[in-house]
Amino acid sequence: MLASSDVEARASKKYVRTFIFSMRTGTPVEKLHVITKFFMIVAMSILALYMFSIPVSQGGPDIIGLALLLLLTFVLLAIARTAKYLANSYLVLVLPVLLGQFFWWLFFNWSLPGARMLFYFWPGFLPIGVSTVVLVGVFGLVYYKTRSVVLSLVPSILLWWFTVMPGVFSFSSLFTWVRIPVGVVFSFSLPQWSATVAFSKVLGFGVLIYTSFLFLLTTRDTEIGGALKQLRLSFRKSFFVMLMFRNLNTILMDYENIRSAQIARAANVMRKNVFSRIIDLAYVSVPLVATMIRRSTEMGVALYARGFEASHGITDYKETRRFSYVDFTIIAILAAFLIYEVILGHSITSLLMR
Amino acid sequence: MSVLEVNDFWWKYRSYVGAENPFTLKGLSFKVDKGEFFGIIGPSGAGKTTLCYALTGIIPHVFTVPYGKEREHIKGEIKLFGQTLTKVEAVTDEKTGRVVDKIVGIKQTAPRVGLLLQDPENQFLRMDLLHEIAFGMELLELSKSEIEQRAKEALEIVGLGSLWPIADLVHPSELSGGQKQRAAIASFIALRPELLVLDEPMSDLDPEGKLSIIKAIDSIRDKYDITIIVVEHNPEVIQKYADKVLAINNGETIAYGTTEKVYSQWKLFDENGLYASDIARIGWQAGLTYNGRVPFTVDEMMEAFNGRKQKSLADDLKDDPIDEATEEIISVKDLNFWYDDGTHALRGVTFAIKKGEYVGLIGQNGAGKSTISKIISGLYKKFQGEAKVMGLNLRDRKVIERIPCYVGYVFQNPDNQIFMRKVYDEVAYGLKNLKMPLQEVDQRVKEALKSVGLLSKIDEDPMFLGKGEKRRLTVASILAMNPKIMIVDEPTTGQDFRMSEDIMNLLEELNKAGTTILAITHDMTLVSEHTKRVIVMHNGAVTYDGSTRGFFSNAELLDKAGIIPPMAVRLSHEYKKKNPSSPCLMNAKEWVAALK
Repeated sequence: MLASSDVEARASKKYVRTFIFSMRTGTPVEKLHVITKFFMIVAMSILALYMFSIPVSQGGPDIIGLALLLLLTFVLLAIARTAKYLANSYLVLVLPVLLGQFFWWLFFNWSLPGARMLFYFWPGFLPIGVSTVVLVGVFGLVYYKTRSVVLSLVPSILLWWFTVMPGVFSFSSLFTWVRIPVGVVFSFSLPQWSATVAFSKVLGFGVLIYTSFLFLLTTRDTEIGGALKQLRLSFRKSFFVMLMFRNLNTILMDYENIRSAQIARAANVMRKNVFSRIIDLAYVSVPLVATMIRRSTEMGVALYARGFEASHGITDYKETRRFSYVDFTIIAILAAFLIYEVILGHSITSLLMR
Repeated sequence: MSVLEVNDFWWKYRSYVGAENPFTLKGLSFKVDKGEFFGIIGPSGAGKTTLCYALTGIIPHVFTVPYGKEREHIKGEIKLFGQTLTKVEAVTDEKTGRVVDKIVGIKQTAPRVGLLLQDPENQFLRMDLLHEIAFGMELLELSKSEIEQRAKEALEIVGLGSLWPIADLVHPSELSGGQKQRAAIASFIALRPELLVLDEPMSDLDPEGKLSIIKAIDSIRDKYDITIIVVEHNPEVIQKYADKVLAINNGETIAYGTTEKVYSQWKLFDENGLYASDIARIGWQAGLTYNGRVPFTVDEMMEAFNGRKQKSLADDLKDDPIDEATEEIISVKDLNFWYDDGTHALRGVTFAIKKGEYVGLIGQNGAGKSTISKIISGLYKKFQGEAKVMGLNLRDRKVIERIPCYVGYVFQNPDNQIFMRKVYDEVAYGLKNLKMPLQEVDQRVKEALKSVGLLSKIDEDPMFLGKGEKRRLTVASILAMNPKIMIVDEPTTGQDFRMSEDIMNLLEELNKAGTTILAITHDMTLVSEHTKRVIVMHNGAVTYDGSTRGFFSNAELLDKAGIIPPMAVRLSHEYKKKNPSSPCLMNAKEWVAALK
């Protein structure tokens, strides 16, 4: 039983460190067993992969099922009080990836014979005109500013693409000076099927990405050790898994310090190309490896000094966490969902559209 | 009764490549009695850590020797609790019947013996504070209630009792360097060893933190009848607490006996570059004695004065004022900074540093010293308020990118900032990043190496340089870039007296040549000897900004900032009680001048 001052102290500790960053204490997700969370990721990932891979002959991707899974992920992130943090830090990185994926599947997915077309574009020629000026001009301007080929190519190709697509900007054909026949190379069609696949892929990969975030943002490395113990892994093996996580933490800290020292030595003053940056990273490995060797030697010494070698077992002192009825309920619901979709081959979309 | 007996012990590390290593320990002989506080002192590279390993059985059981070559690596014997800990004996092999050399002795010394190393980060084996303290006890398979009771008590002893209710929620990365040191000590206190060996356990702590930890260690010695062996550079700690002292250099004994006996040998300290307290230095150099030996404490020195008065040093103690018209080279106004975990590290910090100043940035662990330095050097960008270097606004991204051209930052740990495998390339690295012409690079590298005395090592691998040389190399690497401002983070941590003096003298020379120096340090003796101005930080705010003498003269300010002044200053405060008109003398040099 905790004293009231201890309860207050625990209440004042609002965040605890997790694999990456911190999580709010006292949320329902924090109270879930790590095995439940792991099962959630695996089950939801299998479901997502299965749902967007359902062939058209069997009714096509389970769009509504995928949307529900993604919604569930966001609800869990919100309950875990990590949604705001995620939005601040990772949404900016994840959204372009998902958007890129959407356009990839939209543009490069072949059409099925007889499929309904949403959009159709078949010029059979390469227009040289305003679009070409845009391509060369934007590339030249961005390259002049950044000295980076990659950074210059991205905006110039994007703008060129929009100016060259008369179907999108019909007026652009007015600014075409020469048309060079290129056959079907630049042909483009947008069947409804492609849009469905692209959308389902985005939903599915969204589930995969955000459930992984949920796990990483709401799981403490100490929980893994306890779970491994409950899974009957020997204490030495589970301890070395934990030591690996601990080392990962110190490596990150060392990397941060070493990188700061490198920046202080003018590593970022001049613009550098990709290769020079890779070489800079290679230089970091010199002190990093030396530090890692020293640390691992001292950790060996620290283990000896605590009597690790002579020990035969270990007391389970607040290492493991019991399964609650909430854990069992979540596992049961997800297992039922897996059976319904993957084994019995049903789809939420076809169930609702019936 | 002896807990440890070391008889003519020699040790040589095995060599994995190339020629054989020389002996690291050479014929050491000494005894440690039960309940003693035993101090080990010596310059860097003397073999102190190796000796700690040997005393705890890590040598030869973790650091092993090649089979069949035992006698080439180990000579002599170490006895622990009356039993052989390490010895090479000729034994008959049961299988072959041949007589072979074998290392005999206790293979596992834990939990009866505990060893605490210098860097607590490497000893933090678990991912939360509670299990870090409990780990050794879990391995001993103690009951849960026993673990809980001991862990709580250990945290209270080391001053981390307030963390007990949340100990299972505290990740190692959330603890400051000082807290990690305390946690590492607590993890051994909880094991209740009979012998606790501490290898420079307080190097990262501020003076007040050091004092509280050493008091805690001393209190457990009485409470649990623990024998303590401490390797420590700080003479005040050894002189106050140690019953006996062993001084070593190059693996050999240079002095052994009672603390009084060892610390009475001025030549020994002078010749071997060992730290001596301000009081001992004043006593030696001014010829003052207490009970026939050099005084160790302020009270002993007061008695040793015996009516001897200070001569007037009024003119000598006048600090050269900084010209008001001199341009401001660093200025920060109302600076606030929050770390990602929400810690409010800086709270409205405002100060300005003029060109050519030598300023000490001091304060307790976690006061915000490193944070502000990292903002000034462009490493931390998300701050609130105003920060300018040479009139350039640090909010401007382009200015931040070019900051290394103006501000040189020498980090605390030299091992974290050596990127190349050749001394020349290491110094040239920053210059090449600035795309300097190769001829100029060559010239600057050689000049920088010459000024730190490393020109003769120009083709060597930095990894194989000594600790002091590595530190000088990191200064040279920054120096070559010709920065207008140099920030030096804990320039003397873990270094012996001679190395510390070398590095501080070098910084003083650079300052005289026009470089503005901002030194972050816990070493108040160095502050009192080398800086004219201090900026004192406490809990993220500036509590004092002014002359070093003004700060050390004011007991109230010192108390407010939680700073324990050097012994020479404490002596001044004590002397002033009887002689109110006397000035505040800040270091041994000033005291000796006043007494001669």
